[in-house]
Amino acid sequence: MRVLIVSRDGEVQHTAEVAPRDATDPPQWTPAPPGGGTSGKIVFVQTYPMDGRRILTVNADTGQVLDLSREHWDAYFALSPDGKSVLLNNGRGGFWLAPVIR
Amino acid sequence: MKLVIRPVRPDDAAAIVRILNPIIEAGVYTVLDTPLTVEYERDYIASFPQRGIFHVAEDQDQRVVGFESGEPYATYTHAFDHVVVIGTFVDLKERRRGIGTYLFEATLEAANCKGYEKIFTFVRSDNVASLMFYFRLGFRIIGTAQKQAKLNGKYIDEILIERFL
Repeated sequence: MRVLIVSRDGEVQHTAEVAPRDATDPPQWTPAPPGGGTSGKIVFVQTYPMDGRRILTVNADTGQVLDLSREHWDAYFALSPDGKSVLLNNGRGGFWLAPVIR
Repeated sequence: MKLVIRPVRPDDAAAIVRILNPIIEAGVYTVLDTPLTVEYERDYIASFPQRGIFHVAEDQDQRVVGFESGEPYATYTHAFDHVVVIGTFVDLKERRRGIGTYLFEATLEAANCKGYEKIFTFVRSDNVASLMFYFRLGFRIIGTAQKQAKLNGKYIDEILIERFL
């Protein structure tokens, strides 16, 4: 699975291989900064089942991919609309909130 | 998926029961514990409060695939007139396709029009998928009501969540 960051006019800005052998959920974006555009925006992607569920981010400016997961973490997430926190779920009934620190 | 979100009609009762009863019978998504009849649901829709909000989602074949309803938090005082309590139900076979999100957009617009300021609801603590759905829509977790429900002899906590308009 690849994440493509595409400009408004359809030009591919960045291509990030996030789950070459696996599936993802629909990506979730942090909100647009004041003035709009993609500057500073981050795409959060849930992948599974490669090494357990993983949470990756793609920087829309640079295409840099970060893996936020930890070994055996196996978590699902939901991003708040303001992009400031994620709700994490361990798949076994537990959940916890974590701030998004950039 | 092409969807039409529209206000509920009494003749949607059969479709709603078709969606809701399997969810009730699964026993893991809702605290509702008794399957509904079409007659009961038709009466419920017909007598729905004037300030209530009730939309259904129809797919391209005009088949109802989900619904979301909201009612005033309480009617015994005007102190809660600004609070609406909602519930969202999507056909078990049609989940993860954005239906709930589209329904919520319609609910949000209607809630604004009807003068509500806040949306409130309860989620079973073991239904984390539902909690995550509402979290993505901007709800925040207020707290946990412990042993709030008792189903088949087992206590279940409920998570209280809210979203201001």
